[in-house]
Amino acid sequence: MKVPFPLLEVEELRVSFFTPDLVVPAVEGVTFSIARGQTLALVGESGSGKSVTAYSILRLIQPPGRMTGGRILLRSARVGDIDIAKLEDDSDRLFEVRGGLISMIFQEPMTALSPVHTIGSQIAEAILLHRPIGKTVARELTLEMLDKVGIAPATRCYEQYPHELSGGMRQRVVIAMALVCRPELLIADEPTTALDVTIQAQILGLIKTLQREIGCSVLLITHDFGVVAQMADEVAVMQRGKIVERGEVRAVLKNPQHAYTRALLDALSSRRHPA
Amino acid sequence: MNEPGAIPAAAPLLSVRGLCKHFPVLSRGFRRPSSEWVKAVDNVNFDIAQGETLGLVGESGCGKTTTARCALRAIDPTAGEVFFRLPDGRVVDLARLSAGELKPVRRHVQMIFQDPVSSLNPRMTVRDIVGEPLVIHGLARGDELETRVAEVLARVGLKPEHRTRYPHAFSGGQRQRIGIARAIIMRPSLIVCDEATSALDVSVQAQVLDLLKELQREFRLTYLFVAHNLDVVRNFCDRVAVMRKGRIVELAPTPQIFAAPQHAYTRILLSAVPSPDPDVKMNFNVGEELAKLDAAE
Amino acid sequence: MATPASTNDGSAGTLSPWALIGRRFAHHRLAVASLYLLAVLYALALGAEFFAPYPRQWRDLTRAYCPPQLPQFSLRHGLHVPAMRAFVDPLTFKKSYIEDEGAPVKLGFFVKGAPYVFWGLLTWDRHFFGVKNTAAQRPDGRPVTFYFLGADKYGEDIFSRLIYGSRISLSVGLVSIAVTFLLGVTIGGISGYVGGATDTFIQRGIEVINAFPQIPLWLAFGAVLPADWSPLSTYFAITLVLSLLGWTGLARVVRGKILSLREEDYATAARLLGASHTRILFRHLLPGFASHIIVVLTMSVPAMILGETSLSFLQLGLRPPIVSWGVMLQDCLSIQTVENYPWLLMPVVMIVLTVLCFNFLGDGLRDAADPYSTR
Repeated sequence: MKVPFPLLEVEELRVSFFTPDLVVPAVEGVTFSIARGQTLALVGESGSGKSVTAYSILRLIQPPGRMTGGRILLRSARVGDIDIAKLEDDSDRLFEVRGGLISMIFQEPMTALSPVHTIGSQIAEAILLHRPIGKTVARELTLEMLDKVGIAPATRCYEQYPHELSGGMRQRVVIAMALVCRPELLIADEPTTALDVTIQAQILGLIKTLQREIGCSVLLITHDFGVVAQMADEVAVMQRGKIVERGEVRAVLKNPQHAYTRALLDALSSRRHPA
Repeated sequence: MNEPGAIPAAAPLLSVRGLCKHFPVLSRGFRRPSSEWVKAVDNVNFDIAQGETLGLVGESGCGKTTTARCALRAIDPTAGEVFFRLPDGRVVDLARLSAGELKPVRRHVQMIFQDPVSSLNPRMTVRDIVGEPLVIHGLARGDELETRVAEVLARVGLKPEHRTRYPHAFSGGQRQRIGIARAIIMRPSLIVCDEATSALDVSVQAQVLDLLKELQREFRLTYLFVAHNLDVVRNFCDRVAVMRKGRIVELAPTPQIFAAPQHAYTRILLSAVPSPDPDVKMNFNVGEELAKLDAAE
Repeated sequence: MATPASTNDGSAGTLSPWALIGRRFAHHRLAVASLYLLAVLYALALGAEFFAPYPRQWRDLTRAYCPPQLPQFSLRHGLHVPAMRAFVDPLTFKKSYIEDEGAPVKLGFFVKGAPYVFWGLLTWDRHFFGVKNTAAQRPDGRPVTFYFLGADKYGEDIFSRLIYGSRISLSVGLVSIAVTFLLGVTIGGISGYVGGATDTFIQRGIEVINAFPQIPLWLAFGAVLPADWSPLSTYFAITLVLSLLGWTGLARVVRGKILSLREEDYATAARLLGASHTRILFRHLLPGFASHIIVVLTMSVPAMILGETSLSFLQLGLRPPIVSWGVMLQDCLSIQTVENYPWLLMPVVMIVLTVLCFNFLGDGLRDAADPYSTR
């Protein structure tokens, strides 16, 4: 699937986990690309390799896992083309990519937040790491961002610690932190799985609004076809480390070609027996 | 609750009246006097008829799990009655039974847990886990125990030779089947499913729900099905109770809940579910609507 | 992420948790090696009479501070050590030994030596290793000697004493572990399962015990131990003291584990099935942390061994004629002695070796203790 103005092109990505006894392939030759400003949803059940794929884009695969092949080409408007797969582990370039050009939000917001620093200082820190500005400016930007993700009053939240917030609020903070540097790509790994439906609706709405405002692309990892239908432009269905079907969301959901996609959709009870 | 369909025609199997569960809020400081109470469950009433499935739906913290656990006497309710009809026709108040009186009743009321990992003792074989209820109640031993375990395993779609294995050798769906086997081996009349499918993948979820349906037909089981997922409830429950802030805001037959929700909160909840049909737009704006609802109360 | 192995092949599923622990443990090479080394040390202690070349009370005063003699091999003499001659420096009066040209002392395995009664069962006179011809005599008419690791100030064989001493030093750990286990599991178990005020009371008690400065406490205990107690009574008093202070760690682990396991769904499930308290405690909770108890116990053995050594070294614990590593170290109180006769420090080597072995073993066990953690 070639898209007209790709931001990210992943080609033949392979990741395996090396245990003393055996090698477990997690991602086996995955190829996809994301267009500028668009949302690609990567759907699959647990163990399908969708999260591992997302993690390898930021080179976050930890031993015993290892990327064994493939190309991850980021066609950045700011710094030109970068093959992330070829970057050194501690290179400045990789550092610039992480958080600067690509940022990530996780299922459990607490994994991205330090429990011992205030919300404000953490977001400001994220800005200072990637942009040559002063502390007061960083504070201004942080407050502006907190305001944007719907936290009011932002000045109060700036001084609060993560444990003082509810799950939905924390996810908002994480989104603020991820988008404050205006990345070109946002990777969202099951961002709403741990949340209630009403909170989920708000968070999804927030991601949509901010995406439009910043103009970034989104790689959305999820297992929920409902979220896919409401959020994504394109969808890729993963099964056992391979993409079995991909295409425009409406086409795939209305007329699934692959048996696995059909099985997943049929398992949704609202489709099984339409009310 | 006086909605049509809310009161089952026959005498109910389980009848919950005025159920309350309050937790003390410990204030800060050394002595921590508890002056305030959180009303986790606040005057909840519902009936379940024999063979029926009642869904208990709500968001986290709404008190649905606490309600279910109080109904089972897994925790002691603060106030209220839980009338349960035994197979011999006697009606007991689960909320008031002593520990000794409770034990024989436990045979008839069972629970299926959300987490398939933590609900099975990792140090016991499947045989020991599934057979434990029979051992505790002295219902079977030796060869008979072995046969009944094998039978029930076959019934939930596992192989009899799985008996000697430990839980870690099974996938999430299989573990949930083991949990179901443990719950049905004593032929209870009521089973409380506490988010029984929430931790499973979608396709596995469907299989487990199908199994629960089959078992219900076969053994005339009655389910109290706790869920946060409206999609699951839709085809599984006969009636649905929507809970918010410790109270049931709406209780109605499932088709009615989905087609013509009466309470504003039910409507918000339904509109917030992302539909897998790209043409049915979800409501991203629930935050404001909820705030409006709060203001109105 | 990926759970390989188990789900696919049928055999792994039937492996009991203990088998899984064993499997994991086997991957930890250092721990396995330590286990074997400890087995050797304990075997030596058990068969001390056989493995030690000389009996416990044996001494040759004329050979005080004889240096270690490394066995040599030649075709003519077989395994042997050269004969030694005492030599006193006329200026410093320092006693030293020089090799003699005379007939070497022949050594061998399974040699006849002093008779002994093995664990009160059988009388034997064979020793694993020692002087081959015990009838051979030195020019001064005394029997020839062989000091593998040197001699102390009474001309006692350090090697033999190390082996005899290991009986006390290695068992002091085990005996106190038994007491620790009993106290720790009972008190910790009550604290965790009963909870409430009992729990608070026990926890505060533990904190008080932990707050006691250990060495002064030992000093006090040492002072109250009557000097006329038999060595055996002293030995048991020491183990008791060590374990009375040592059980708190285990009690905390047990309490913590019970508190966390009690919240597991399977414990709730058992309760909802109508299981009794004893059944829940012994069938569901206890097996869940049995392996953790073993780890804690293993890790606390070194502390016990070191405790005995310190007490004895400070002359508060065991006293001669009992032989233990700590007692042997009493000879090293002066730096002069240590400088002139460094082989007196051999017990330190043994202590370090043993403590390291137990730590590695505990490390390996800890890593293996939870067979379901994904690492």
